[in-house]
Amino acid sequence: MQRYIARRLVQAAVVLAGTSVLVFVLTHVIGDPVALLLPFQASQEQLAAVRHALGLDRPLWFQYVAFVRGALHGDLGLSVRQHVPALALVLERVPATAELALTALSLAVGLSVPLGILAALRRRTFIDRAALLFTIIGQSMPTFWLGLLAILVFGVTLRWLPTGGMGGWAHLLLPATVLGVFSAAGITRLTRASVLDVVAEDYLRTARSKGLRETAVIGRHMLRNAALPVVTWIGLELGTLLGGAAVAETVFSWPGMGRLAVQAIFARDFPVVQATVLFAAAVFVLATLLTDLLYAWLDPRIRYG
Amino acid sequence: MSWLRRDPGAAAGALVLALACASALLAPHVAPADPGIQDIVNRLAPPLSRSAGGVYWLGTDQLGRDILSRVVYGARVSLTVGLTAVALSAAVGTLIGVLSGYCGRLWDDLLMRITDVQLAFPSILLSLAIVAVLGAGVRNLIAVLAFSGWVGYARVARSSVLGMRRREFVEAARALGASHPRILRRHILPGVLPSMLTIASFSLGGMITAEAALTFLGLGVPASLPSWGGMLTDGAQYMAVAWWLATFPGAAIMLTVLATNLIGDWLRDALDPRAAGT
Amino acid sequence: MWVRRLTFVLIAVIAMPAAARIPSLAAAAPAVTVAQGTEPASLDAFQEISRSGYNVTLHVYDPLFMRSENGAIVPMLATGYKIVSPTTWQFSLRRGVRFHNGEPFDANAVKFTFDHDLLKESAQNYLLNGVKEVRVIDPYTVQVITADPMPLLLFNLTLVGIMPPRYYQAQGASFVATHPVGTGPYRFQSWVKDDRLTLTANPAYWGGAPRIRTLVFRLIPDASARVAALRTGEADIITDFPPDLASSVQGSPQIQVETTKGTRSINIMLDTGAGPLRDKRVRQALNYAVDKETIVKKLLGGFGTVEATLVPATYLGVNPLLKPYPYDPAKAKSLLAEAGYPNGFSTVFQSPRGRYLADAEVSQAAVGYLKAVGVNAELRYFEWGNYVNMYFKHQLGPIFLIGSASAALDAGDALENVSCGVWDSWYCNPGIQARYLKARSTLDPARRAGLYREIQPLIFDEAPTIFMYTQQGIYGVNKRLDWTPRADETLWLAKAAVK
Repeated sequence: MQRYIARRLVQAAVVLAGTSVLVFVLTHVIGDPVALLLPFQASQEQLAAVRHALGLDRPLWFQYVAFVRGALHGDLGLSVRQHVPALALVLERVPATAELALTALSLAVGLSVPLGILAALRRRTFIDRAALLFTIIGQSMPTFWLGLLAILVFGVTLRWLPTGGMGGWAHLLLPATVLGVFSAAGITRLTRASVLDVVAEDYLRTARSKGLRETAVIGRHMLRNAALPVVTWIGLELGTLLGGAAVAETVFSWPGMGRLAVQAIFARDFPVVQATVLFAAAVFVLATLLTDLLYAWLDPRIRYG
Repeated sequence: MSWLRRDPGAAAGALVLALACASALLAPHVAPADPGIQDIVNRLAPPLSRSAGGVYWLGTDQLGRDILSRVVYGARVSLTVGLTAVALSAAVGTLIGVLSGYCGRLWDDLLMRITDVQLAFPSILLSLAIVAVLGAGVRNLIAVLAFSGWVGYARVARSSVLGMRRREFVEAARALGASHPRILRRHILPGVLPSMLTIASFSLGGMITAEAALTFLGLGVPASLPSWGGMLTDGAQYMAVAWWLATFPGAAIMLTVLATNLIGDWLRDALDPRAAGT
Repeated sequence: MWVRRLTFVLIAVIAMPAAARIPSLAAAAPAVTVAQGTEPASLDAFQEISRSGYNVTLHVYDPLFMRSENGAIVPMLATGYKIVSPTTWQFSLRRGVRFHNGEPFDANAVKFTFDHDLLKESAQNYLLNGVKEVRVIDPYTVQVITADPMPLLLFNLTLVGIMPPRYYQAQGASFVATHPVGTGPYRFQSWVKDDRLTLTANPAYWGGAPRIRTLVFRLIPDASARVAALRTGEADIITDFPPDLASSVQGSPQIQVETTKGTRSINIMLDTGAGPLRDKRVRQALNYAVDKETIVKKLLGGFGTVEATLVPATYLGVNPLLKPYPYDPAKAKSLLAEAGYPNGFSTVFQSPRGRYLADAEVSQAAVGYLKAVGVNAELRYFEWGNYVNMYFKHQLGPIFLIGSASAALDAGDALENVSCGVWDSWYCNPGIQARYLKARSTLDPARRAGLYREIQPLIFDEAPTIFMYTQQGIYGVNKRLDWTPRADETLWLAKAAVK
């Protein structure tokens, strides 16, 4: 197990390094940070002066080292628009997005795992068809449309929930549900499929033939095995949620990272875009690391492999 | 054609997708009007409204443009973006996956770490970052979507190549002195293609909804081109007073995505007997 | 067994939204909430110049003068003024006023504010850029000396909030930008960026404590979500009510749509310095090509007035004899042909989205009309913050939509958009400029109006912009509120109350 954890940690570090290269290439090689700072009509001399001041006339590897050194110290540059550290702006928004994404994830898991298992155990019944309908709608309906419809139905017509903004958990419910639906659809589908896979396996038949009660069979053997792919998927789903948050936060005026990123893009505020992407990637690497470790714990074959 | 009878879902999916493709290809002949023509006096006309020029079957939008014609023309943009992005990401992903699985060792490590890096980016955020650098527009949109979609192909292609490498027919080919390119072309690639096709059909739907999401954020298809995502974005503002603006492009998106999923299901079952019935 | 347990979990998850309804609307907040589509970039009065920003800062900072509900100039931090000479204004200041941090208000604060570099460098520098010197006579008397006579000085001062010099110098601009301190009726309480900004009543306000205890400014960028918030009572006032959604609140017992006379002029600017737009005939053709009447009637729902030039009918100095360019695509085509563009030309049309009434739709419609006469304009939308930044840097063009309003309701401010050597003009005609400068420094309102009236036919003929319309202010207001909107777009709640 320890060797596995060590290997996984090294991998995560490599991935983070690669991420920093990708972000660096995006912002420094493909995009030109200087052109964005100056007006269109800026002269060559002005460009050169700013380039020099920012150290952009140095060799690329040198710039990259400086970039990484800064990043390790939490320095991702100043926001072009607000003149405050870009990372601070991002960190300010983390709680809001975390609240939204984690609630969405819990709702999605809470809804779709039972739904998927039920659908598999009661194939071709009403609940299976309902689950199918749900996955179809959930995966094909654009989030922003679903969100605006939800505002009209639950906010304006039924008056059950607030239409947007941050506040108590009533404010959280609508955006989190809307954000979670897409993921929930995927998890339902996967849970159903993996339970069906496991049901067909021989060891369940063995367990049953040993005379174990149905509850014990499902609980101890089936769910544990069916959980494997689902756990991996949920880890990956966190990334989808962080991305989807950009849309949900815009629809529900939720002051999170996603909106910050979108606005930074409109304002061509590169340090902020860069900080958002790097931060999200780091969170995501951490999340997949954790799910992999959880996976190893669930599946002894990996633990001792 | 017997599969049609055995899997009516897939048949319906194929029919919907065929219809969408046909309307994209034949838009000028099928659409009743030019999708850009504005008739501001008759704006927000409900479906089946009559005007001097004829009937607005699906009503008009906020500028009095014929929604039916725009849905038909919108298929062009949405499918072009979706299909091109899928084709690009499938080609790149398959190539990387096959090389990774076939060459093994150093290559494999390197390429798989690259896919890890790619996977570490939440795809919409990555798309946002790229659009921020390159600017919005159809070509960049395709590039962005393709770039965020190739990893799935690479992973699956790699694992199925790893499985195949040790199979008899590949070993036999090598023993007979076949060159690597030949083995790849004649033996490996045909073995990988079915699962690639399955992934592609599933991901087409995702590409179309991603196009809609990016357009909603103002980072996708420019306003001058009719696209389903753009129409849905504009129409969503009018849901409280004119439901038809958002409903028809929204339905077009949902039906197409549903169709691609049904086809994907069928492909997976048909090409991979083990998965049948799940 | 398992099936039952899982079913229970499932039902619990699905039932959560229904359970959540209890806390949400039960407690009607004592606060009054204003929802706007854009958020201030900064709360530093030197740096914030957007209307949505003023709506906030005007409650924190007092200017020397303000307009009353019927448009008259009323004293605020000044108690009176005297014109000593055509270029010297003397202001007597209110005594015993303190900033929220306890710092006393006096002549030094006025001098500090008017002289500040940030103000002079900001896009609102036009308000005071004719000022040569600010002289402190005694702690409660200031003189403002202008280079040329500045007839609009008093009006311009309504947009300049007075800042606390000691606090500002001690804390620095970037701190003040998020922690404003003024003399106004409300104190700053908190700001969650991209969500809400909260102000609380200043009980020691010199004009009497406001009756509304808490003011919340919420940011709701999506117009239909803004209307939704109004309909549910989450917002009491929403600005820039989308005309198309007016029918969705018709007959509502809680909500009414209130309008004001139009003072904001919306025009399609043309960069006359380059390309086909240098030719007057092309610019006239574009004016004939766009059906402004239909745009106002249909896209603005009639909440606007087509104008002959960029001077709104409500401004001092408007020329009422001019009639707008009629919609005449045939004439437009022949003018284009005459200018050497029988097949039109291609260009770029930039537009904000969500700043002005139906701005995105108006721009799209205009692009459609231009296309009909052969001018292919590629439409590009921008988010307002970015757009206004490009505007200040003179980076927009060749064709773009912009709105402007004059605090003084004076033709001179409107005509600045087509004058020479300023950042917000894309046209220059030395002959017209000489007459414009003369008019602008004429103190006597009647004579000044006369001079402006003579200029407008020249501008009309030159067609330096596509003259469009004046938009009305449209507010969605909860009927529980006792408040009337003002024509100058100032949203002022210090005297408002909840019924």
